Amino acid sequence: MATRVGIVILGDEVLKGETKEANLAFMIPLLNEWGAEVALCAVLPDDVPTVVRHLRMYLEETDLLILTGGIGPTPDDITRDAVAQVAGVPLVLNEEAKAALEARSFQGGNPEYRILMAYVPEGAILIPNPLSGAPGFYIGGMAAFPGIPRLLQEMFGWVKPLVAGNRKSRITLYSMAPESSYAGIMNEVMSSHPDVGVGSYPVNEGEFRVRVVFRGAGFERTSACASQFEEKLAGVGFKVLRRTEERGDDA
Amino acid sequence: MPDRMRVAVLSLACAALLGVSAPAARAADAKWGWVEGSAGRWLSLPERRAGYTDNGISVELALPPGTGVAYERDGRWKPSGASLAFAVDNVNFSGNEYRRGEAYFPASATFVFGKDFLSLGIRKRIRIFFRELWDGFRPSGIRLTYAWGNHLPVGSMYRLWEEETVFIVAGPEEAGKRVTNSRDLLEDFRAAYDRAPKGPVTEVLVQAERPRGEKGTAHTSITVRFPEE
Repeated sequence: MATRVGIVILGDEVLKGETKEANLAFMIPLLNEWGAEVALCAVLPDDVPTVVRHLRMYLEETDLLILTGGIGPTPDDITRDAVAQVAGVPLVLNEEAKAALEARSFQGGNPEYRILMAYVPEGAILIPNPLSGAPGFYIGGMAAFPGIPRLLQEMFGWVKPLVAGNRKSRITLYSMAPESSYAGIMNEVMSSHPDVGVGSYPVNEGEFRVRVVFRGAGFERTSACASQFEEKLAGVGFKVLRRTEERGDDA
Repeated sequence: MPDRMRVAVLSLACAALLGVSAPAARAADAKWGWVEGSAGRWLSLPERRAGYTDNGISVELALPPGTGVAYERDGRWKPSGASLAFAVDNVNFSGNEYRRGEAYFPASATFVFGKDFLSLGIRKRIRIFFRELWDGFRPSGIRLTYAWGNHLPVGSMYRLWEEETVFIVAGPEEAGKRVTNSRDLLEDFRAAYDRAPKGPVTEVLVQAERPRGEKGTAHTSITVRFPEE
């Protein structure tokens, strides 16, 4: 089971500001919900050598790479070439993909180029696309999806069985304390609970100034860490005004 | 009867009465004055388990559609800190937080300032009476309601009735979580009505409801402590 997941956004359109990236906000909460640990996110240009170099590096640090974008029929869609190179296999015409594409005709579409989307790395498993027929694919720890949010969102559930794991427990404390007032306290609780991840995030709107998030594999342990923080925060004169508790799968 | 004998008989009678009434009194006290009823006009009671203390209540509920419950307690409390812990796994999507009579909260706690009213005039009062006749009567006085919202974002504060201000302290995106809020009733009253309350909190009302038309049973847990421990 994959637990450490990397997300790679492919496309000059994102790097040049032509398109506003909209898929991370969709994918990250879902991956966390499914129990995966999102270990890295990157945006890469439409340049095969650059993408190949980075994919190889990221694969050493993750169990699964999710790639979005670059699987269309135009010359700047280079994802399939890059993935094939990393996997060490040629691109081949996949008959199943070809049939899926041919089953849907697009007015004004050129079949000669449209069929390019049926070429996938040899041995790849197809990721069905119920909307346009142009599939994504999976090979060698890399899952390629279209970058169009509507298509990605429809297809993304395919990843769930690959990443499903134990969701961590999560406790969030909200307060009006300035971050500097508890930076030292964070150090203390992180030392006494090295198995619990602690993060502090300023909130710029609403009733609170900050939220401090505790994530851990065991609910009791995570809760103890949060409670220790809460007590110590009270010691420097600040109260936790809101606490949310989300039990993980191990709780 | 000699005096000493009378005293002895009276003492025995008192002891017997005390002996009989003490367990009954303790049983009554075990609820600390909390009274249970159904919430809303057409709702039947859900499966429930409640624990009462002098300064609060804790209830666990399984609410199929068409059920609701309310717990009320009268008293006199200085407005200060209150701790509210809600856990809800299913909100009421058919609820409309802005509409009186349709604000079906999956969990809420209302603090009533029964000695405090707005100056609304007789006509307005009559209109409110007839509206309440349809939507259900609310406790009289100014009310602060802390609720788990169905659609509104956390942090929303708005006037539902003329004399009732709602604070959304948890929202639909938090379904499945346990959310604890520490509220200062005095500060919240000031935020809502731009002045301090004229009297104490005279009633606390804890409610949960799931209207007909919702899908599936909602599991709700509510713990209210006032003043906050």
